[in-house]
Amino acid sequence: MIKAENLSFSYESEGAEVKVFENLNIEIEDGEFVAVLGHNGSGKSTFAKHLNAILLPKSGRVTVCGIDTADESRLLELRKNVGMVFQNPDNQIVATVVEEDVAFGLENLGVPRDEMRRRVDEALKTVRMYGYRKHAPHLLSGGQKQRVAIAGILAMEPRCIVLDEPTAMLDPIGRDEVMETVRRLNREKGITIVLITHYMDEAVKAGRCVVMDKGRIVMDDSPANIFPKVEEMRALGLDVPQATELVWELKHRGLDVETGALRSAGAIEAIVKMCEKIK
Amino acid sequence: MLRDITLGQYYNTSSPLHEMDPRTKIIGVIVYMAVLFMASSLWEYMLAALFTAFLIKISKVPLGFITRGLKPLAVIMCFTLALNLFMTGTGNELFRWWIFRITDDGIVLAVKMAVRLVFLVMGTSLLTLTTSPIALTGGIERLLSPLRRFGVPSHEIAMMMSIALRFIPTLMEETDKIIKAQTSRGADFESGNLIQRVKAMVPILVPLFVGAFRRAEELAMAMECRCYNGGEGRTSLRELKFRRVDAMALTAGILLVSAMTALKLLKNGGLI
Repeated sequence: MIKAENLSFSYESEGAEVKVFENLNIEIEDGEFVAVLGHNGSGKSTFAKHLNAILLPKSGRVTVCGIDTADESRLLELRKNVGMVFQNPDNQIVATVVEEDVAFGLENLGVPRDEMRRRVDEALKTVRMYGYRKHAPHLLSGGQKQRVAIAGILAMEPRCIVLDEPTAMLDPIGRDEVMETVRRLNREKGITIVLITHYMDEAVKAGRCVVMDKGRIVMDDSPANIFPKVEEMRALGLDVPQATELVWELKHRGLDVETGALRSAGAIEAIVKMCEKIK
Repeated sequence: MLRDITLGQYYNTSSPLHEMDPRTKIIGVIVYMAVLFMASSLWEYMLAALFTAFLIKISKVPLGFITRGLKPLAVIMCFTLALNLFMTGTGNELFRWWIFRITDDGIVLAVKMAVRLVFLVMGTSLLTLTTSPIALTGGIERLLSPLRRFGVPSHEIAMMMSIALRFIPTLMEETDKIIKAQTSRGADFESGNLIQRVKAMVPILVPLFVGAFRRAEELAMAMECRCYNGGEGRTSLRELKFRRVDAMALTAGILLVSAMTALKLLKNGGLI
């Protein structure tokens, strides 16, 4: 589905060449839900922008859905298949009415009106925003705006959606709405999801976590195998989910507790077990 | 406070004018303006007044909304009134003081001008009151599209207008935020003379512009990601359809123009 081979990228800043990454290799399968983690400057956003040819590799190559991103003649086909959702919901909504915005991508692709109508309605129903189709976007909450943005991508029927910190500007409710939508798309529609995030509680929900640091992939495994490595994560400037941190700290302070919990339910279970053992 | 400003000034209800195709309405307003400037005799003004009243009646927009649009025009109105009143040289002199002369012709002309302006504003605000901004931009795009071959970028103009409309509330909100942020840092926007107040605006405008450029860049990227590549081969969700109301409007327009011409002919023939 997505394949980066020996991907290198650098940019010039004040005459000096800044290397973002060098010889990056990664493969993502169809239908996967991958979270890309890393602190600021790790290159995760730059990586995301390579997936639909906003940025082109300096060397190496990126193939998505069998399309080389450097192939300009297939640019529209690529972008139709790889949708992108950005951080700021205000800056990616084009139209003054929700349904018109969802239709924007389809209008660009020249989809006939009847087909467009059907796909817009379906996309809005999928993100549960159908009731708001005639609303003005600026009156919606952050989470709702982001769902509209997702619907706009969804209407193009992409095979892959890349989300670049989609929840960074949202409140906790909005964050849950967006995450729930993204997971549902992955589960029910089989759309490949690449989620760039720095919220570990979101990364836990992915099937696979890729941790980046200084332009390299330092870890690439399931959340259950990554987060219990609390010390390593901290050395990379990353947090771990609160539940994982709690049991790890307890263990660290000499209590006999099973580590590795990712969610609060798991942590509670581990602590209950520990208490029973003490008794 | 800034958030209270409504987008355009669309009044949402359903009326024959609301249902009409935006293209018909835009052309209608142009015809209406031409007719207003044709009017010269009392009878012709009566006809224009009658027609305007008829439009307002069927638009179902409360009269208050329409007259509200006249308020910002008060200054211009006074200015034209004064200009016509004092600067008309012909006719019988009624009053003279220093260099000012008021003649009966001047009064007639001033009143005509004022009435014409009032009708003009009322008629055109009916267009924005009964057409949503997005329909309006759509209509403009379609009307300008035949001019494409002469190099008029009709799609781009419409796109710019609709993006501007989309970002007005967003930038308003941002302005509000910046004002609050600067006020909390001790900035003073309310006191001082005009120059000092204008100077106080600089700390608002600079971050606002920087923010707007950043937004523009992000929006452009998001649009590209959604396969935007200009107006070529684009389709539209919104359907512009010529309906019965449009045919009726067209007939009304023709009737109005012919009535106006008839009145003119009658007057020239000395019949009224």
